[in-house]
Amino acid sequence: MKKSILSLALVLATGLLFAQKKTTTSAGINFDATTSLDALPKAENKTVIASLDTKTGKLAFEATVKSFTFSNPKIQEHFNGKGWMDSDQFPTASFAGSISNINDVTFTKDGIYNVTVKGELSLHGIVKPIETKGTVTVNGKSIKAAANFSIKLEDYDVKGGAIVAGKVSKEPTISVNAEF
Amino acid sequence: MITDAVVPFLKINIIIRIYFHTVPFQCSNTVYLPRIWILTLKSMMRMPKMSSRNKKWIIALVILLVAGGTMIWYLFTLKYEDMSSVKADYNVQAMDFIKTFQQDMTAANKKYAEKIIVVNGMVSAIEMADTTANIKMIDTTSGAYIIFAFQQQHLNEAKQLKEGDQVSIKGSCSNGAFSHILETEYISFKRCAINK
Repeated sequence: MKKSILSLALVLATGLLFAQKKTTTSAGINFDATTSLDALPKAENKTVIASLDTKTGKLAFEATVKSFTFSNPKIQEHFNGKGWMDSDQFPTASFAGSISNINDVTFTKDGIYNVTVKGELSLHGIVKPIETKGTVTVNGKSIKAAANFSIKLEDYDVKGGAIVAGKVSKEPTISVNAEF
Repeated sequence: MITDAVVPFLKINIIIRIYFHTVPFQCSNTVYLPRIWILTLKSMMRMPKMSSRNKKWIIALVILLVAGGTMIWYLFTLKYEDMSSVKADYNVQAMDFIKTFQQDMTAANKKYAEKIIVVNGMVSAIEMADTTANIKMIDTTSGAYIIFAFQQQHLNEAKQLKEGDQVSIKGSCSNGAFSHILETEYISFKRCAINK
């Protein structure tokens, strides 16, 4: 009897210690739509919510669109305005998916693991499937997830004269990083 | 004597000289036009063969070009002010502020989004990530929180804070939302500084 209570306590303690769903509210997303004509359209958001289930590989991000900060106030105003991100109507952008090769990552062993992330990106009210390569870095208790990919703005119905004029990239680069 | 080591400095010097002689610059809220622009305008005024009507048109065109160029230059070099010198629209208590968003998210966003707000409350957590330090004020009963991302020049102020500190933070309120990941409400701020 004593042995079974001890085993149960051990299982519970282990479960708590290695909770599978890790979250952070300070993940970062960088958005770079610069071109040779204009170096201004790039922004960062440092208050992104992210979660990673280390057992199933489920990965999710939520970003407040108005939290993307540009160096130039006018560019930020355009970014949030009508025809662009329409952030009053679509205040958040999100990603929900999973790391398809999560079994390749050993969360108890330090190292940099190459992963493939598949899921759906919701931006400007439009949801599109997305797949990208990324890395998971394990360093002691710290788990870092990072990925770089590009999207086509027209896929998300983001249009504007500056895109046509070549001042904003048609396919901006997005860098995501989260430390759990 | 010009040695190879001096050449890069000479190049930089030439670039700076060309820049300041062709592009208008601003100092103490006054825009100064380069000397070359003024000389061109003066020489046009003195053109003998041109009729006075044509002169007026050319001068109007030049003024338009100068005004347009200055406007474009102004828009491209525009930067956000240091948050410490920006006047706040509202001054609120953190927990009351969270409750306002929990009660009516749409109305609260309409009132507070993109406004400069001073939030008074206790530091619940400091989240360090790479070069960033975000400050959080959390409502422990609901888990709802306010998160403050600091302006680059005020980042050290955030890093010096400790959990439990009573603090007054000024920043631009992005907006409030419900997180489906955390299943709670959150309000995010950007370009923050400690309110002194």
